[in-house]
Amino acid sequence: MITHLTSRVLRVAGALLFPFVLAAQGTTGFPHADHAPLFPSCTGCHAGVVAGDPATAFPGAAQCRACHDGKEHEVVAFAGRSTRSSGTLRFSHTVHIAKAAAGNDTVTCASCHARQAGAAWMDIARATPERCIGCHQHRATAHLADGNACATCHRPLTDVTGLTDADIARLPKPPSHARTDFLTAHAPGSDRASASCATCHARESCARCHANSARVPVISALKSDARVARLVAGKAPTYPTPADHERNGYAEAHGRAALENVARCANCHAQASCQTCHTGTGARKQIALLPSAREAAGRGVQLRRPVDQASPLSSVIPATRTPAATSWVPAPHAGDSARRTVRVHRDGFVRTHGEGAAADPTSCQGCHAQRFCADCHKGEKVTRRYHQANFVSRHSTAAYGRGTDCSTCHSTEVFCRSCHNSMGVGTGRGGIRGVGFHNAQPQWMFQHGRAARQDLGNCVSCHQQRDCQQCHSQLGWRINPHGPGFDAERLGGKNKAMCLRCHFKDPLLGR
Amino acid sequence: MRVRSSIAIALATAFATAVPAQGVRISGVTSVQSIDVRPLVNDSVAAATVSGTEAWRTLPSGIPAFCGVDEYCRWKRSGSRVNLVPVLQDLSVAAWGLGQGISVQAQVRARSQLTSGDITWPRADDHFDVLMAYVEADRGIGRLRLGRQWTSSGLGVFDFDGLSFRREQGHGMLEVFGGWSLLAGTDERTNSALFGAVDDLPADDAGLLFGARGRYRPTANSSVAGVYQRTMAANRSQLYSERAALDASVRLGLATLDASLVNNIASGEWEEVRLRAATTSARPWSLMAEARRHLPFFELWTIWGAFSPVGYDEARTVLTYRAPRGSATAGLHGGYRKYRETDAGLDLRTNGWRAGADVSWQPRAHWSAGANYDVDVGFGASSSDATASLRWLASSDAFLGVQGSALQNIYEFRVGTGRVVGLAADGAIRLTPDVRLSFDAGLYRNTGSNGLAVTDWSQRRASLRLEWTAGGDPGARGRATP
Repeated sequence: MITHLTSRVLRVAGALLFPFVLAAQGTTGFPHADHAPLFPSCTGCHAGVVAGDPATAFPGAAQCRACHDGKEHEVVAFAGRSTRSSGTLRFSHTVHIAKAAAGNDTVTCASCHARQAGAAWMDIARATPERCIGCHQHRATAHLADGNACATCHRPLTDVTGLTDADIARLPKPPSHARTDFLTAHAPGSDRASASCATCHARESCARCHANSARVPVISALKSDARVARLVAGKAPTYPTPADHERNGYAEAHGRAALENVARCANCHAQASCQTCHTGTGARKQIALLPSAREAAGRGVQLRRPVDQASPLSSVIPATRTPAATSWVPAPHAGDSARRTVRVHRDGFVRTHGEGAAADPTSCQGCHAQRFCADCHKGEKVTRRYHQANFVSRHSTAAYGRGTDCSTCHSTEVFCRSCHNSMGVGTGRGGIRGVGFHNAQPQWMFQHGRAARQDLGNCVSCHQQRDCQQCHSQLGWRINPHGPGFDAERLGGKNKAMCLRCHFKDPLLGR
Repeated sequence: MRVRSSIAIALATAFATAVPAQGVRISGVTSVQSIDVRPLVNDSVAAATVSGTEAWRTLPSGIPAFCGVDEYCRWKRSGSRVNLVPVLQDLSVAAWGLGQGISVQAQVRARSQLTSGDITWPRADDHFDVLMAYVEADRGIGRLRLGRQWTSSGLGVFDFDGLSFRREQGHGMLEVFGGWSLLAGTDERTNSALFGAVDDLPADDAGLLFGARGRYRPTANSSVAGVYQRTMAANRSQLYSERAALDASVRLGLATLDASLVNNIASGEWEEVRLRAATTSARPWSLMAEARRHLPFFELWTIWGAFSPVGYDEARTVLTYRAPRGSATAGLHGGYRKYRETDAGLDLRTNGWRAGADVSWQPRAHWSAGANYDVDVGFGASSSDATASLRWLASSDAFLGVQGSALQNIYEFRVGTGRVVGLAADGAIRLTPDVRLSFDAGLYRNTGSNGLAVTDWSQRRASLRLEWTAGGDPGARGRATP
């Protein structure tokens, strides 16, 4: 009985010794196969594996010299081998040996270390994860497979002090990490998953990108590691575009998403991201919930406010004809992963924003200071944002058709008239007796009344009040300009001076 | 007087800025243009040499001329080419942190023209303007602004020198404002010499403007806003205008409804009644439809309101398709307007319509192309024009583009019709994160129409703009500071 047990323990221990044996080969490698005829068991050299004693897990130099004494066999240079780190592996030889010894397992040294099934005695190779899974298939279908509980076999990286920076950099990358949707859905959903992350990652791994790394419990739970910190230092963060961000109109809808779950935004965005556009007071409460610049420490998606050149065609064709919602442009800064230009407002917004601004002015002030509006609404175009090139030769149609309201930005009675006078179109001080402009309308004098009532604003861009008074006043030919519905009492009651510009005396007296 | 007041406002703002601020941001735009113009000049020929006895005759060249004044037939034609080089310099200053919630905003503009002669580019002879300059105190109780500012509401955009106070409470906002009224787009008082230079009858007195506006959001998807505004002579002898507006917006599922009402209280007429429905832009297809009743507005210090102007009713629609990733878009738009009865003069066109289509395509990251065609047929003038453009985005900091265009203008009340083809190029490069240079240049040739072009729109145009920013930037570029 004792013999049987001893034999079994020896066989198991011998098999389990092989990792250490392989490691002991060092740079020269111990030629196990050459010694196969000499050694009947593994424990002859690796007794410490069975006992759990690292000091005797490998043979010493003296054991080699027993044969390699220079007489019977040549002397070999072997000074003994210190115990090799088992890496992140949580594996215990003694536990397996004990289970086997108790009859609860059939594992032997060869189960893990034989080069292949049916290999000759001492034809060995390093144990691989696949060998583990060969027996423990109920725990993982494959090494690095989705859903594996890494912590079953591995210790957290931060607890493994024996690995160098280079060792950590060489850790294998699970296939799941290469999936296109991995970055947008990699948050661990359970403690088990978190422990799996910790096998290869430290807090610095997450903090490289996460602006809110200090606020996320699963990140805070990770330990810090100087080796990982060195590896990620200077490495640009990666920010994928979530699927919902790809949708048209997301720029308009993102406010609601931020209200519903600002913590999600905070994964990638610090306050600075929002403040790129939200330069006003709007949304400041929600923005304040995001990590500050100090907390984010420079991380977070970095945006640039789009200017003319980032929006295709916007300078050549007015913004109303710049329908591209999004466009791909080169990364604004080296290392940035954000490469998208987003148009916030719908097509044609530049011509229709007045109503929105009137109904809900705070929305505008969320992003725009008043000086932004002044760029367009102050009379002259400093930057070409509204009118297309050569607009001067097209503007008459736009003015007559009222496709836009010129007076929104221009004083038609000053801006338009002064230019028209300068260019010889207006009447200047010459009154209506100048000739030329309406020369294609031989009956113009009989038609101008209708034209004037239909679009007096255009008349005013050339004619001054005196021009009309030459006929339409008591100073002139006393032709009544008032229409059938003219409410003299009402207007006269509001401004009598207006009446007296054409009437010698108050026309309402006696009424 | 005008220059003095502008300088006073600028100095007051500068004094406020002189107080140590947490941050100051100054940005500027320098713009230089070169434009060829051909002003219209009078021409004449002895009436005896023109066949006919009517006042309006046609010259042998086909040009209509007026022969009813004296022994000459007169008309206008394009004069010799004149090159104008207007220069514009804008400066914007924002200083903040002058105290709790206190900041200063200012925007000034200087103008000049490098070429001399009788012809001046619009407002190039007005060398300095303070477009905006105010001190703001934004505290918990509300926001106070003092200085030159402007307010935008359903009534439009109005400038004034004065005071405004705004308070937000829950879902509501109320703002009151008042001060000296300024002519829109000019930053001059109503009775300024600027208006007197182009009209013999300027306002008798400067205008005082005051008003109030409020906004309330009943739900997250709806908003309603109202404004009342009154402008009167400073000596309170005349009312210049009194108006009110109500605007509402509500989002219902995938659609947004906007409504606007503007009432001219002084005249008792509805100036604007508008209803617009639009689908959200979150879908590839979007549609906007609008019905509108419009009446022009004139302040009562002019006589124009007494001429019984009429408005029009209009329907407009826009259909847009946008490829899911935005690499291609296409749109159609159209509208029809009908003018109301004028009870004056002989027949003229009383309706108008417009239609157009546009496409854009970005086949590659660095290339984009676009084209559009528009027709606008209406009262007074009609036109059709087409444009095609191609742009190369060398990087996010530089682009180069070319554009070809063709347009035809047909004026009912014309000095001539015109057909113009053009070729233009533009580009920009960001020299540093805070300095950007852009340019455009174009050559346009008037090819005439029906063999007759009284107005020659042939011209060369070019412009160069330098945009720069200096000083602090509270998040404007999104770069976090650790």
